[in-house]
Amino acid sequence: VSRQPSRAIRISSGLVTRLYAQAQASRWSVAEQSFVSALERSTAKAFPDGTPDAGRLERYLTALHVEDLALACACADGVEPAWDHFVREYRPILYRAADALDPAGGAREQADAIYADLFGLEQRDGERRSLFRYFHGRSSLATWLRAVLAQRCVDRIRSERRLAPLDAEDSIAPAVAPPLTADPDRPRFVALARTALVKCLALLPDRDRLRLGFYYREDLTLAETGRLLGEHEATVSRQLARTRKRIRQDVEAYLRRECRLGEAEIARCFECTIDDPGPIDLGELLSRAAGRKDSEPERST
Amino acid sequence: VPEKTMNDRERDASMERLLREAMAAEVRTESPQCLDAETLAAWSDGQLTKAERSAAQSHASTCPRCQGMLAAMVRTGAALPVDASSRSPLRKWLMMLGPAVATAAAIALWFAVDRSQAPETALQRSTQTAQEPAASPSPTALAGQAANEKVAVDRYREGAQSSDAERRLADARTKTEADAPAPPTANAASQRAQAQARNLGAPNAQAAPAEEPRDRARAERETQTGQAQPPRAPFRTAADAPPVAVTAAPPPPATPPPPRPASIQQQAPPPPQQTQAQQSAGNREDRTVVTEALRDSKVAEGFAAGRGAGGGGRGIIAGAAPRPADSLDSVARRAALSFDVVSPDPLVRWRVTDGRVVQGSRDGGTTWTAQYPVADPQSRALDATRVDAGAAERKRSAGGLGVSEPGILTAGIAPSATVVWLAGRAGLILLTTNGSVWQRVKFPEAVDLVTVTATDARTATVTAADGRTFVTSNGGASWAIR
Repeated sequence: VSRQPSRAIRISSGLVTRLYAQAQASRWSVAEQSFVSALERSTAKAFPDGTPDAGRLERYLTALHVEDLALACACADGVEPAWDHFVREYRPILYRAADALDPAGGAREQADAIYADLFGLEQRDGERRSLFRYFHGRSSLATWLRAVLAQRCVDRIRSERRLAPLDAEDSIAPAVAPPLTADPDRPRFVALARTALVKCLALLPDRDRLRLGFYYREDLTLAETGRLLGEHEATVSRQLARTRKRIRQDVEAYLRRECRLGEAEIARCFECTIDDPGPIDLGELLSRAAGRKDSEPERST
Repeated sequence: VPEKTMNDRERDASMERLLREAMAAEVRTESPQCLDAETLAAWSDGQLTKAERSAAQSHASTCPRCQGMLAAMVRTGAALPVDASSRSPLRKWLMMLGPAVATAAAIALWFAVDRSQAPETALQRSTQTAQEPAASPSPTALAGQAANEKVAVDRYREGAQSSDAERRLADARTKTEADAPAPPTANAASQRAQAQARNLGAPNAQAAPAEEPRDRARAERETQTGQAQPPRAPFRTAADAPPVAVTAAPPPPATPPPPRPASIQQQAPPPPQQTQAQQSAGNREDRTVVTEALRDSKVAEGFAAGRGAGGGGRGIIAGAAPRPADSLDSVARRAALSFDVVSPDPLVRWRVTDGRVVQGSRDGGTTWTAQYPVADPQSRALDATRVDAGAAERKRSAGGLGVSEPGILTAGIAPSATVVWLAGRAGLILLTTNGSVWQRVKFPEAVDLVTVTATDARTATVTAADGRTFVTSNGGASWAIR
C-alpha cells in the first residue's frame, strides 16, 4: 500500500538533481518536491525495515526507471501534456496486453477501467487518489501497467468462477461418474496415491513447485516458464523431467515404506490413478505442502 | 494382482497425467502476502533482489493466484515488443559479453586446433571401416548417408520436444558434418571436389570460388578418396592459412573448365550401387547417435502428448541409400517410415523399411531376410484389402495434420527373440510368435497407432494418435480401451 514515508529518508540534493535531470521531469513541469516525494515513497516501499546506507540508497535510486516515474508523477498531478503522452504511448500497450489475455476482447474492458483509476476518479479525504501513486519506478511503466491489468483480469476470472451458476447439464448429470469396473480396491489405491502425492509435493523445493505450477496449471510453454524463472527452456525441460522422476520415486518409496505396499499393489495405484485421477485439490495440496515445509527437512535439488 | 506390471514409461506417463490433473484442479486463495503489481512488474523486469525474488518465489509456489498473475504477465509480455530500457546495464553488458566471448573462443580454437592431424572420432573410424570392402567409396553412397542423416535431423527437429534430445541431435549432426562430407547430391560433391582440384592445380587462378575452410577440408577429403596426398601442413596463424575469399562466389566462367584430375574423373561416373548389407554396415554406426536422439524425441513426443513414450520401436533410419532420382521429400518420407526393432538378444532384430517391408536378421544385422509381405496370393489379397479399407480412412483424416496412409507400420517392439508386435496406421497390427511368420491381428478401429508395448505374445498395449490406449491380453483376439 502506498503511503507517505513514516520516517525521514534523506536523499542528497546532488543525487536528486541528477535524477531529476535524468528523468527529464521538467519536460512535464513536475515540481522537484513532488518528484522527491515519489522517490521517498519508492525507497520506503523497497526498504521497509529501515533506511539503507547512502551507497545502497544511491544504487537503488539510480536503478529506478526515473523517466517513467516522472511521467507518473505528472499524470498523478493532472498535467495535461503528460496525460496526452501517456495515452498516446501506453494505450496501445495496454490494449495489446488485454488482447493477449483475452483475444475475444473481454480484457479491454478491464484496460479501460484502469484509466479511471489512473486518473483518480475516486477521492479520499477530499484528495484525488491516482493509481499512479502506486508506481514506484522499480519496473518500467509499461510492465507495471501490464501487472495491474493481469491482477484485475485474474481476480475477475476468480470472481466469475466463484459466482458461475451450475449448468443445466451439470445439474442433471450424476455427480460422480460410475466406475468403469467394479473394483473394490480402486478407491483405496487412489486415496493412497493422492496421499503420496501430497507428501511428495511437500518435499519439493519452492522453485520446483513453482515450475510445476507454471507448466501444468498455467499451461505455459517451456520458454515462458523459463522467462519467469530466469532459466533457459532446456533447463526448464530438464528440471521438469527431474522433478517428475523425483516425485515418482518418492511416491513409490512412500507407498512401499509407509503404506507397506508390494510392487504389484504400487503398480495398481498407478493404474488406478491413470484411469481415474479424480478431483484433486491442488490448492489444498500446496497449502498443506507449504505448512509442512518448515517441519520437514529440505532435500537437495 | 494386476494383470501386468506397468513399466517405467507407463508409470512416468501415469505420474505426468496425475500431475496434470492435479494442477488443473484450480483453487485460488487470496492472501495478504500475494504479490502486488509493483513486485509482479519488478519480477517480470528482473529487478528484484535475490532475497526479494526468493521470498516472492516461495509465496508464489503455493499461491495459484500469484501463479496466474505471473502467467498473465508473461503472456502479455510476449505480445509486446522488447523493452530495452527494462534491462539493467549489467545485463546489457552480459548480453554483449556472451557472444563476444564465444566469438573469441571460436577464433582461438580455429587457429589452435590442428585439424589435419585431429584424432579420428568413432564415427569417422566406423565410416572408414564400413567403406573398406568397397574399392572406392562413392559420392553417391556418402550423399545417401548424409541425406539419411539430414532426414533424421529434419524429422527430429519437427517433432522434438526434449531439449536434451535436441542437444544430442545437434551434437550428432555436428559430428557427422565434421567427419563425413555431407553433399546434398553426388553431383554437388563432385562439383565441389572439382572446384577444389581446380584451385589446387591452378595457383594463379584469380577467381577462386569462395568456400568456407570447413568445406575446403571436406573437398580435400573427397579428393583424397581416390588419390593419396601428403598431409597438409597445419596452419596455425592467419598468415599460414590459405587465403579465403570473403566475397561472394563469382559466376561460373563461360569457358569450359580445365580437365579434371584423374582422381576426380574416377569419381564422376555414378558408382555401382552398394549392396544392402554394405549400406547397412556402413551406416549402422553413423546412425547410432542420430538414433539415440530420435528415440529421445519419441519419448519427448509421447510425454508432450500426455500418453507416455510407449513403443519399443527404435527410430533408426534404416532406409536404403537414396537413388539419385529420388526427391528429398520421398527420401524423407521413406526414412521417416523406417525403424529397427531389437529383441533382448542383440543378434536378433527386425527392421521395417519404407513402413511396409519387414526384414529379419539373426546375426546382428549383417544379413537380412525379407519376412513381410510374403509373395503369395493370399498376402497380396490382404494387402489389397488393407489398401481399400484405408481409402476411407485416408479421406477421413485428410483434413487433419496429414493424410493417413494405410498399411504403414510406425512402431514395433520385440519382448523376446521370437515375438514381435508391429503397429501402424489405420489399425494395422502385425504379430509374429516365431520370429519369421507374420499374421495380421484384428483391431477394432481404423485409427493410426503410434506406439506399441508388449510383454509377451499375448499382452500388448498400443496407443492411438488420438491418445487412446488399447490393451489386449489374449494375443489380439480382443482389445479393451483403457
